[in-house]
Amino acid sequence: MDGRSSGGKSSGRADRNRPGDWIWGRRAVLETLRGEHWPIRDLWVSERIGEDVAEELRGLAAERGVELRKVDGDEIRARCHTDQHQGVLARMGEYPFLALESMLAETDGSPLWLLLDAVQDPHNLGAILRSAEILGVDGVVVSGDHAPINGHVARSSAGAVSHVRIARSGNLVALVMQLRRDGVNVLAAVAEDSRAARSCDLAGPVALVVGNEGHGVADDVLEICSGRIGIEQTGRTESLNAAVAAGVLLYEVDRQRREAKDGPECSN
Amino acid sequence: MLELKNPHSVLAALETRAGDVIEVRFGDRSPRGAWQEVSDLAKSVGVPVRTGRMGGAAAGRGRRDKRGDKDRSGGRTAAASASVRERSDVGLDQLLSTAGGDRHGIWLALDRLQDPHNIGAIFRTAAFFGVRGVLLTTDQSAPISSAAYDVASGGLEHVPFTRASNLARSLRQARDAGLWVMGTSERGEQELSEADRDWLVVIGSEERGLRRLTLEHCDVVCRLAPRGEIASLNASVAAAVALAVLNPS
Repeated sequence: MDGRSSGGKSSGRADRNRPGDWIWGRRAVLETLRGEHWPIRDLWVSERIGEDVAEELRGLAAERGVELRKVDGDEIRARCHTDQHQGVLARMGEYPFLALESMLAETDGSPLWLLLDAVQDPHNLGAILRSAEILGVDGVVVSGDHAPINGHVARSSAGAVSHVRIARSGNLVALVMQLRRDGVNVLAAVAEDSRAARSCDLAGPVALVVGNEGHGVADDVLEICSGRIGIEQTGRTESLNAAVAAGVLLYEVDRQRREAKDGPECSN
Repeated sequence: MLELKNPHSVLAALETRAGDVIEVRFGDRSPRGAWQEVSDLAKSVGVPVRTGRMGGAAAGRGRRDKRGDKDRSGGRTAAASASVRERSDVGLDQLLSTAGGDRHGIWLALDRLQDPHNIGAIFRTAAFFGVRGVLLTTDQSAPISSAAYDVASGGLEHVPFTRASNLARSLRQARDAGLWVMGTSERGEQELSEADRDWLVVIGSEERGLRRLTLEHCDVVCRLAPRGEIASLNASVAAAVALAVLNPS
């Protein structure tokens, strides 16, 4: 790093220039404020924004003790380098991960956990969190060398980052063993030698392990999982994108649970 | 001209239409891994391979394409690239020509998708599931860019596609060819069922979903997301879910 780009902590300028610290767009910022989980440090609002949105932002900012600055739209643009900010920009504090043990303890019935082993692409991580929220995941655990949860991830998640419960684990092997001891069926999402999701019973307690985009689930984790789960391929590309695979598998878990609750549909 | 930076998208182009690959370039380091395969294949089919510092036009394009290119293709830095001609559309008639066969098939229609990454991700998934063809809109739609090819990781070479200026008319034509048109919307009246016929699945744009006119041309509208505080799944995940459920395996 050279002196110009790093600046050091003293100036605070470099800090403000990290694009990942910022989120923008009405929906993303409003979801974060409503979520009451991830602290916002500064809130910038364009003078030209509609009165209804401005009023909601003012109210929420006051409730959360966030300072709201009225700025020119160009200032926002200069910060986020895009025209898609809709006049709303927020500088995020550090993402507050939940404590792993208490997240795992707070569950009833058949929990569905999603364990992410070094998912590195912020777009993938965001898309996975979005699917996790919609498909009823009880908690997500990130581990290994993963993408930081920042503004990029928040945008890709379409706000889900503020609603899904997320914890961090420094030892995925130990976590898998603990879950298995607790009677959770821990299934690694793997393309090869795996059982098709449709033929797995996913109605009980399940943890789904999704691996790194390049290397998949780490070998030591794979070894101690209860089984391998996959998606039946009928075409020719070798693999699915990690976020797409996670979405398809989570959908199947959710489908089986709904079916178990409501009884099978006539069409099946 | 496409500027591809994912070795898997370049490999697929070399395998399926080597004549459209103008040249492959490597930076200072010698190619490794999948790029090594690209280098070998390119040489064996007579595509020029250049090595040495990359600069000028290619580097400039790299910066413009930076958004998503690097991280969407799995964290690769563009140590190498290839110039490839765009793949041509097939006609709609040809796209639909395998309808009504012994085995049911699935087609996709993308209604004004805005994000080239979603288009790429959908093609990757479509290739995985053996989708027969993809119908895309031209107006207010993201182009099939280099980034889309790279995210597709070869999927754009394996699935035929056609771009239509009037989606409603194309949907009518698809129905005439014997396809059943399925819309996907969070307001859909029923859950996805299994493949029992030739389906054309319509995926709506990221922000606005399916247009009213598009909905009017659907035989059925299914919902994918049963609950949640967000309106719907990411467009590429939604497409994958629909294909996985309908997959006639």
